Amino acid sequence: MNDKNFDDFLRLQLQGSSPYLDDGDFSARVLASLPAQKRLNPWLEKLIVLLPVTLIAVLVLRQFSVRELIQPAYAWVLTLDMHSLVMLAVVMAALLFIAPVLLILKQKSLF
Amino acid sequence: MSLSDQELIARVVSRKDQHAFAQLVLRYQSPLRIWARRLCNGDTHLADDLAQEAFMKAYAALGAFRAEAKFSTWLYRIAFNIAANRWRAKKIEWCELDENEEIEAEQCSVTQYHAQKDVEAAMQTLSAGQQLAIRLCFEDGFSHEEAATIMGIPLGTVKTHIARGKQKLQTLLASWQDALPE
Repeated sequence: MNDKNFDDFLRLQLQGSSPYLDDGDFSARVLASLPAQKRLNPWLEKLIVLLPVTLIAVLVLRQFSVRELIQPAYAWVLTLDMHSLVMLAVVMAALLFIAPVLLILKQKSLF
Repeated sequence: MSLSDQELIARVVSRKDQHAFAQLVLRYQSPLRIWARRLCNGDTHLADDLAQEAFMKAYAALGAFRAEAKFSTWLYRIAFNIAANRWRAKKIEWCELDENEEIEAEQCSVTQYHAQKDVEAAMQTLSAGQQLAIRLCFEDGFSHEEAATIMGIPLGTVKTHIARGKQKLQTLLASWQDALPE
């Protein structure tokens, strides 16, 4: 057996006898032991979403004149009778109260 | 399409992307755990702990990794260093890599039917340093230089380990000579 043939033989046998180890939960354990990734400040996260949305909204609103937007709404309010105005006020107050309560309940349910 | 090691490493370093690191772990978990088993004399639990620690250290030090070497060479070297520290602390048994003493092989002719079994049996008669050097170069496909880097010993010592180991294997596996092409 010459040296080259023996090298090939040895390589073939050793590589052939080397099994592939199934991962099992090994990778999961490694990843779980890594230091936790730093999270952004929650306010910063909200700012990242709100800032572009606000900018886009401002750009869209700039396409209309303020008078065109406000005048119809003001005219609509003026045409309402007292009963409808009170109802509108009650609904808006209820919404202002319910929205934060729902938000708090939703956050609690996450824990 | 799977990303190259370099691309994954760049993602981990720049964005601390743990998903990219998970890809590297999945890619190298099997060879590293096998390497760790060799370093831990076959103790699978100890070997998995060692491999896990090696990946954690690699993650922490990935920013310092230079692409001059292969990622696998660097990873194997980390595992070897951890094992060496444990040997020094006597947590696992080990033999000196530079030892000249070899296990005296019984002068039996290795004539079992399966070549792999014969090769494995013959490998067991080599010294620890010879076994590791031969496995790194013939089983894992590292060059002599890479094996020297991983084992932290001079290139000449690796070459000596391989030459002596091969010489012994050739003697023990002489019965396979006829089965091979000239």
